[in-house]
Amino acid sequence: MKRIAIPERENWREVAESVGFGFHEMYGEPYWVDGAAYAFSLAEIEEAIEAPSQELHDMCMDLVGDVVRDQQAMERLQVPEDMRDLVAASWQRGDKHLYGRFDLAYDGTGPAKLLEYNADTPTSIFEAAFFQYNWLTDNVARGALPEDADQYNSIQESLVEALGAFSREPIFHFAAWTESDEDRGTAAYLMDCAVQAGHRTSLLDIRDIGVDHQGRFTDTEDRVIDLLFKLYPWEDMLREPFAKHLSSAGATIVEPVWKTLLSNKGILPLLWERHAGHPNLLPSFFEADPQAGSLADAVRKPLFSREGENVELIRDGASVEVTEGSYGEEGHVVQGLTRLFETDGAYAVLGSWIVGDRACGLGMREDRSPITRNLSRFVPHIIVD
Amino acid sequence: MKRRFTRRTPPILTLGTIAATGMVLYGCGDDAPQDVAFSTPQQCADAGVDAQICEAEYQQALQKHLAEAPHYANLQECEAAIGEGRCFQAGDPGTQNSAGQTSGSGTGFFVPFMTGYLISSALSNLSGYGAYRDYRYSSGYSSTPIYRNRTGDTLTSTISNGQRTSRPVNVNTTTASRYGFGGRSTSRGGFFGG
Repeated sequence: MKRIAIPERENWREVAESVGFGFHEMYGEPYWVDGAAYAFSLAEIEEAIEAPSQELHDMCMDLVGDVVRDQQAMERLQVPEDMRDLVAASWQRGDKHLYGRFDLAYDGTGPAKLLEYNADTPTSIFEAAFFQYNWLTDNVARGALPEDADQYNSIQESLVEALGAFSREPIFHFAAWTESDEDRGTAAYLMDCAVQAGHRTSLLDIRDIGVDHQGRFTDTEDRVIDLLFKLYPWEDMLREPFAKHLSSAGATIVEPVWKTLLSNKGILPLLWERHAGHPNLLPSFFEADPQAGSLADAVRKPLFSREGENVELIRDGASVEVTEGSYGEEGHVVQGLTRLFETDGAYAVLGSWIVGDRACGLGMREDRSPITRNLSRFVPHIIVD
Repeated sequence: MKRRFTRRTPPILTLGTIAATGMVLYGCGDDAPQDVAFSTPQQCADAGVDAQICEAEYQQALQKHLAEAPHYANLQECEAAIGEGRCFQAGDPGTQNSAGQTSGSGTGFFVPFMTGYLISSALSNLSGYGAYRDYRYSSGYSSTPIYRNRTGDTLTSTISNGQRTSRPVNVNTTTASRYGFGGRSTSRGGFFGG
């Protein structure tokens, strides 16, 4: 694993704009990096990233199967009491899920370590599945990369396949926080994949979802929503006014509600309890657990947090960095600190994609701080031997 | 041979862009006529469709319903699947009239009540019954019967390759309230996926 520089494609901004990738700059900072790449060997990809990601996902699925039968575990994961049957039923029915992203720490030496599982509302999938792929074929075509350069990326074909497993009869509604370019673009990208899988689709804002007199969800044209993808967190939906309609609405929702158990930092201590010492796990404890104090170098994270908010870095038992934010009221976990790949003051985190139940691709993000935040940058990767 | 993940050509976007300016994607144009649900021919006529067309479509939908909706040998079986008071005996196709009432008896099978029918909004543009007959003949159009099951889902049934299958329909309804999701993020200044 190394970070290499390659000349930018001269027209990459135009290419980005032409496919609607308007968020290649965010908050006035560049987000997409065209002039650099992370280079891996095929062995690193297969042995250090792909296989562990598959194993971690399988471990997570086993964990869910047990948590839905365990009131105490549901409590520790802060699933609202009146929503626990809904979560359990969703798992027991076998509600299909679509995708998730493991964030892994890996620096080319030793095993990759699981930082967290974005199993409910992962973004950066367009960048990883589509734009990074485009970057690769462009650079091979212009001779900036060798002919046999590859990329760990079968994300889009996996998405089309997984979306094809949902019924094509009802309209596939896609709901997101549409004022955010990134969220709207992510939903629109997944919607495009759904069209490729033969679906009729419609995009709406999460706030515009309505409910009719029979308790069914409706769209802005007063049609019943039978099949819904939502890029909006379950931990919020379960605490919002329409939560009471979820059990009667009759809609198939993607991600399914059982995914709220995995998109929760509380799985880190639960996984550690079951698999202490696993090479791809870091020691992790709920904050109230006395063992949490045994970690001198650690990261304290809220159970629910997005974009690196409210994360605290602890070295030698003392707080050295804290990020701001609005999360944390549901409690925290403490996770042993690990090393990130670091070069020229940039820290890299691997986003390892699971689509359906298959590990199928990689997207690299780097940040100037060891806590990956919303100012992180997306850097493409290649496989060269 | 060495394993490869990618092909030589990049993936495609059907729409060419993720900018999502038009919110509705049907794959083949945005102006497709919509299906509108009515419970009775009267409700259909009240919505501005020719009354004769409404009645003819209702009868067509009912015939289709009797042929393609799930059939049960007796009332108990039907009610177990569909819900109590939601089934009728259908030996004779005339047993459910357009007011949704049943009459007659005799032998036959049991089916769920047809609770309404979906007709295309294109029909409201037709000038009269003659134009409607021509339209049906040329397009092969037929309306869709709908029924509700035990859990309140609105379904329609079709037969293909001898298999009777039921599927949910995106029926039109009346929204009672909105803005029941998104509130927690509103207070946070927006939600941004992770």
